[in-house]
Amino acid sequence: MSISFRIDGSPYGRSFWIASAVLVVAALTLAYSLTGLIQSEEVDDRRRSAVTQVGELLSSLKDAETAGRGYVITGDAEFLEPYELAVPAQAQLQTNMLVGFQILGEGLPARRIIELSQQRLALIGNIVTLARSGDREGAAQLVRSGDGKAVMDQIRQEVTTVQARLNRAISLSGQQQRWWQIIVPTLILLASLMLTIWLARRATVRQQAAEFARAQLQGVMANSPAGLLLVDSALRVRELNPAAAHMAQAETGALMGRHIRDFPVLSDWPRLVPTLRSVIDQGAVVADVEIDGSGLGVENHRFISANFFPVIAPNGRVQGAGVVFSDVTSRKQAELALAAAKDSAEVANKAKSQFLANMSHELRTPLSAVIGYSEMLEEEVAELGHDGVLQDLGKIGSNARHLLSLINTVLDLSKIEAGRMEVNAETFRVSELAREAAATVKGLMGRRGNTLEVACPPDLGSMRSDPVKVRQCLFNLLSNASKFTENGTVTLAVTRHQNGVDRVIFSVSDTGIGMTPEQQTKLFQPFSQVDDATTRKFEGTGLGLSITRAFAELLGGEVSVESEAAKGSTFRLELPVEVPEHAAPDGEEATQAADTALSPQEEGRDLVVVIDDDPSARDLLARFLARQGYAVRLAADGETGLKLVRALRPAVVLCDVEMPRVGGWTVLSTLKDDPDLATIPVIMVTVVQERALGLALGADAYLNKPVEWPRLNAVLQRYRKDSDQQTALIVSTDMEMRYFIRQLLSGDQWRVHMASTVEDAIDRMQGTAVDLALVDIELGDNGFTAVRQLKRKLENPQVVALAPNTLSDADRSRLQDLAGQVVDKNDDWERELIEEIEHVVKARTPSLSQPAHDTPQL
Amino acid sequence: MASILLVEDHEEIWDFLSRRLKRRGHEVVVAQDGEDGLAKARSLRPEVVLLDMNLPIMDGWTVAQALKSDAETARIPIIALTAHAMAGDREKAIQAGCDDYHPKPVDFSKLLEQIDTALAAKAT
Repeated sequence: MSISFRIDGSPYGRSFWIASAVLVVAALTLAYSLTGLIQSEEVDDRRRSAVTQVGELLSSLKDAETAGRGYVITGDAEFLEPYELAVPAQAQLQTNMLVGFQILGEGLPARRIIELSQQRLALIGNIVTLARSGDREGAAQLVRSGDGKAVMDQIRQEVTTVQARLNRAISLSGQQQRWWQIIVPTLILLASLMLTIWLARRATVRQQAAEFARAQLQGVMANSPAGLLLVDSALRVRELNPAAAHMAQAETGALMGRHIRDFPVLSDWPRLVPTLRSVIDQGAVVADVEIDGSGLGVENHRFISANFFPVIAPNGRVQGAGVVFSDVTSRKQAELALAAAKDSAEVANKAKSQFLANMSHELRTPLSAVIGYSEMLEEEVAELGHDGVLQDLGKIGSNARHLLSLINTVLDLSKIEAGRMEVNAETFRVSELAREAAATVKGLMGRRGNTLEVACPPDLGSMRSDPVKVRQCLFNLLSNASKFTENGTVTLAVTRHQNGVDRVIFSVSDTGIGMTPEQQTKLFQPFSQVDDATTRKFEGTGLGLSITRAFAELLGGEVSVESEAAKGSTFRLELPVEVPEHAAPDGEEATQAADTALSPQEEGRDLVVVIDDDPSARDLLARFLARQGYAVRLAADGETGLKLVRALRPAVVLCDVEMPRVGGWTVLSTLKDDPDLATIPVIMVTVVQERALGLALGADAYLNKPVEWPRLNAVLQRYRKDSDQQTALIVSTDMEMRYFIRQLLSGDQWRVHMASTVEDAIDRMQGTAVDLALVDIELGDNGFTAVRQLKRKLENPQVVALAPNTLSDADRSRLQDLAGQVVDKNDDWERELIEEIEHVVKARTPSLSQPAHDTPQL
Repeated sequence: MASILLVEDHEEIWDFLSRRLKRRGHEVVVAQDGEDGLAKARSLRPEVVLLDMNLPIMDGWTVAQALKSDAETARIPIIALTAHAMAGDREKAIQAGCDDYHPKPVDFSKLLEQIDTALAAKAT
């Protein structure tokens, strides 16, 4: 998860930009000042050397002047030596000086100085020449004339001026450098200061942003109605918001960093821990996992939807996993209510169809007697020659047969609606079937003066469908056409269409009364002919077309009609050449539950086997049970159910009553008769209202459909392996007595087993811990032996003996010693028995949590 | 004409069926439950058995199985009479050992044909 927060638009404030600008200016200034420094240093050097050079020139001139004067005065040639040295030195000095001065822009004064110097040197040269020629007086005269001095003064003045100017320039450049030395560090200091301010400000802003983000996240976490749980890869809890903590019944923060198993409620949630693991392993999101919170400490019947996601670090490593829990209870309850409503509607509809089917069947038995007797009487009366009576008998017979065909049609329709109509697919030749159907209606056609034409090409080939139903459809359409046509033509045309789905089309046209569009809309509804008047005129059930359409749909096809009033109608029956698979009987469903073994995820859960032939009921029960944390196996008929129960020894069996092949009563009695299986609780779940029969056959509970889910849940709770129920055994040869006592063991506290004899009870219960045995004692020694055996063989249950009130005092105290508790069957025995039972419960309550056979013996 | 054992618990049905069969010249003995039917089939050795399937005490399928598994009675043709006329009934009856199947309500002329067919098959 990476969250970035920005307080203002840009991460860099104004101060940053100013500081940067100042820094750039400082850098430029520094560079500029450094190059200027180097340049002015060079110029100063030149100036200094120029000052020196001009000084040297002057001093060399002075030397030459002094040397000249000395020679004039003394006439000694030795004095001339400096002069003779000065002449070439002057030339050299002048040349050097001129170059340096020109660079410094002082060329003009330099040339003037050089010119004056040359004049001066020439004057000295004249004096020396005179003196050499021996005219020392003339030479002295020349010296005294002052020409030389004037030139010399001029030179001195020029030199002084130039030197002063140069020195001033040198000092000026030194001052400038000092200025730079102040400005540059100041600028740098300023820039640093501003950068520091910017950095500080930025840190503050970042901290504020982080604090804001954190506060925002905490606000979201704290107030989110969705629970949020984050764990690291070792399944230690890293974050648990209040909503999640509430669901987990833990304190937020209290157990932070602890392993998820330290949150008992959380780790008990089915699938939570395994899913977290797999999310961490796979690094992939697992969405919309439904967790049923009921019975797990979460408020009753909370449904939680969980979305799992991996927590992935920026480097791509999975660091842990997170879960978002949302409470979807209200949605779920609505769904359940809807499903229950749908279920009950389906059940009601099925019950209606079942009722119709049963009714029709029941009606047929007396009707077949009516038909049988009327036929017999017809024969007898015909022999006697009473023709008047014979006609009347004929009417009875034909009406009875008509009634029978009506009932048969209703039976067919209800079978279709109940989903019990089976398709018996066979391969047959299409043209043969069409001709057969035509032949059966020939007589019918003749009666109304109709001609039947059959247009059936011989190359139609074969189809695989249910020939009985196809024939019936054709018969219905043909007799229908004939019924509404008089002295006309009925045509049966058969064609095969092979583009797209391979289909055979039977079309039946007539030249009869036809129908208006309004009449056509009512056409395929059961019990409706186009109107009541026609019903009276053209008698019939009004069921033929509904049956035809239902059969056509069952066979994967359809029926359509085109008609015009007074011109005639054409009915088209289109059927696929291959009847689709789903229309086949549901034999395969029965074997679908063949994979029996429990998967690793189901390990440790109580197993429930559901035996029900109705797929929707099975599905509904399976979903409910899975949500309650049971492992579930399904069987679509009794036979498969019994196989499953034998193979798996489930904790509970849920069984429907009405099923094909082996019915629910058979399953129940088979299980209860088998000593190995008799202790497995069987709950009958059915529309059949035969509670007493169910309990008499040994059912442990009897629930009617539509199922009331909380009730089913409560009943199932009794049989959970880990529930702290106690086991009671009722032994009596009298069935009514057994059921009476069973009623006294009220509530969910008891798991009740019943047996008619002590031997039977021992057979059944051996190996099962029995907490309480209620034994209805018969007179004689047998009763005592029975109690003794029961105590020995069944790990010492608490025994309450119900004794006949004719028992002698001696026998009674003997029984008391054996059984522990004795209740006499006097007038008040029920109340006494209840008291005894309560007494046992109280005595046992402290040790309830221990296995029953560890309880102290009384 | 043949000796026929009619095993049927419904009084009206066995009454009119037996009377009509007798009118056709057949000799008819009636048994009203499965056990009685089995006993009479063993002792009287009829030429045809008309066997209802839903019978008290012992059902028709069991009777058919018992008759067919006994060499003495195995050759007696059995025509099952069933009230359901459901798709699986025919197979169930044939599987139990019945030779033919007649769905109720009784279509008398068809039943006579079936009896004749059974007798003819037995004769060959």
